[in-house]
Amino acid sequence: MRQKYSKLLVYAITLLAVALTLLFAFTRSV
Amino acid sequence: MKTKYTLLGTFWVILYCFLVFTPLLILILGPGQVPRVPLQNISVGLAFIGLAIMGLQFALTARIKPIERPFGSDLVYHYHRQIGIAAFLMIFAHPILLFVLSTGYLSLLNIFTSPLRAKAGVLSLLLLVGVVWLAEFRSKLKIPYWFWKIWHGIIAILTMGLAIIHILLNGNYINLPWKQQLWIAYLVVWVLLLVYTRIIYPIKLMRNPYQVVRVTPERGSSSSLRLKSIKKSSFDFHPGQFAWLTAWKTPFSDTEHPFSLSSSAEHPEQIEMTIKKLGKFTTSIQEVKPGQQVYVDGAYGSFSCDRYPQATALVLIAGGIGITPLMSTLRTLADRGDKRPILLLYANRDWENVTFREELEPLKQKLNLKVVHILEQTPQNWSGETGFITPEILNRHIDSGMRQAEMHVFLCGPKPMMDAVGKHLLAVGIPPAKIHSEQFAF
Repeated sequence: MRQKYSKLLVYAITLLAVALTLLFAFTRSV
Repeated sequence: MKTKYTLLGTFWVILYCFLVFTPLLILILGPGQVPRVPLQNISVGLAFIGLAIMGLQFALTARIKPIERPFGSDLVYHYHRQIGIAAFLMIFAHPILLFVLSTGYLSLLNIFTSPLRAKAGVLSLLLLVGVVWLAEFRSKLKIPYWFWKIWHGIIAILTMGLAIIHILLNGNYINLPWKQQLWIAYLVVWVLLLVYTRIIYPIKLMRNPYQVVRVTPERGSSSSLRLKSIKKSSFDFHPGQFAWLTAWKTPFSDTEHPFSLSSSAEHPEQIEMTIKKLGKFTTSIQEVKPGQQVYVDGAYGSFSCDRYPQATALVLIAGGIGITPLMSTLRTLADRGDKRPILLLYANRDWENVTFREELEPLKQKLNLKVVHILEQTPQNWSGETGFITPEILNRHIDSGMRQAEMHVFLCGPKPMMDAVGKHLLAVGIPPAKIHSEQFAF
């Protein structure tokens, strides 16, 4: 049951990583 | 106490996120980078985040008690494993996206002709594939746990070292001295964490050896080891917590095993672990003799009624040797003179193998305790519960008085039993926040 929270954090970190990377890529690229 | 743990847990999650995403902030800050196309930047951005996550993996498994305390060791290890795979995919996407951008990058895979920066990158990636592959398939490959654990750490630090060399030699994204220093600082912290866990911490444990005082055979192919610190410097613990035991070897050997403490937390000067013969180590541990020196590292885990002082009724559900942390709970509460209503649902295969069967009787006198045995194979004239724990059994014994109280349920046993009973508890209307369990799967 508690492992759901751990999975949730993994998904959240992964999504945030992708979102921030895209933001970085499209604001700093030529 | 719950608020304290919630606050501490929130603090660690925020700090963790900050450290994970700092590399990307570093990329964004400061001038002077050679402009790149979006796909290149996506490739690099994901790799930097993946690498930061991998670096933090060392902190997650360094057994730092303030980190472990709010979440519980099982959850920290579970997270370590899952985020490791996510980070691996982010790092693996780095070369793949570059190959998509230009097939010219493929020539960098030839480490005999490629520049040093590419050699470091390729080797780091190969080692990373090895680390993840071994971690995932260790059981199937039948690699001994201790052997894997040592190499897991060594290969991981080599992977990270080569990755840092790759980043420093590439230079474009960390072209300013302060950016380079920051990555070197990351590497230094990782190495320090490894030195702490593999050298300093084992020395600390060796300086405080324990002695086996008594070995008591128990029902259910188990034995209770009573241990005391030779230097009279034992650790305090909460009922339900566990400790790591090393026998026959030193803490440097990395061959420790986790066992729940079964004794009262009110007497930390002499601790007890009740161990069932389940594998090679647990079988050999039964041959330990009084006087033998062992090493104990504790206490860990969040599976404790002490974390929920607001509870006015307790339901303890044990399957087989899963009774050990709950026995510690009962013994501790008896020593404290606790008068809250407690229900113990204790499932076993047969009556002869019910560990602590006799010891539970006097506890009924000291506590407001009701014990319900559930047996798969019943003796003659058995009038108690039979089979497995079902929603009907739960409904029959968790009475309305307990349900109306602030009731907390503590569940410990083999994984299939915990999964099944966990579902049954939800089915009979117990809120998830009041069901507590801990799964050892290190």
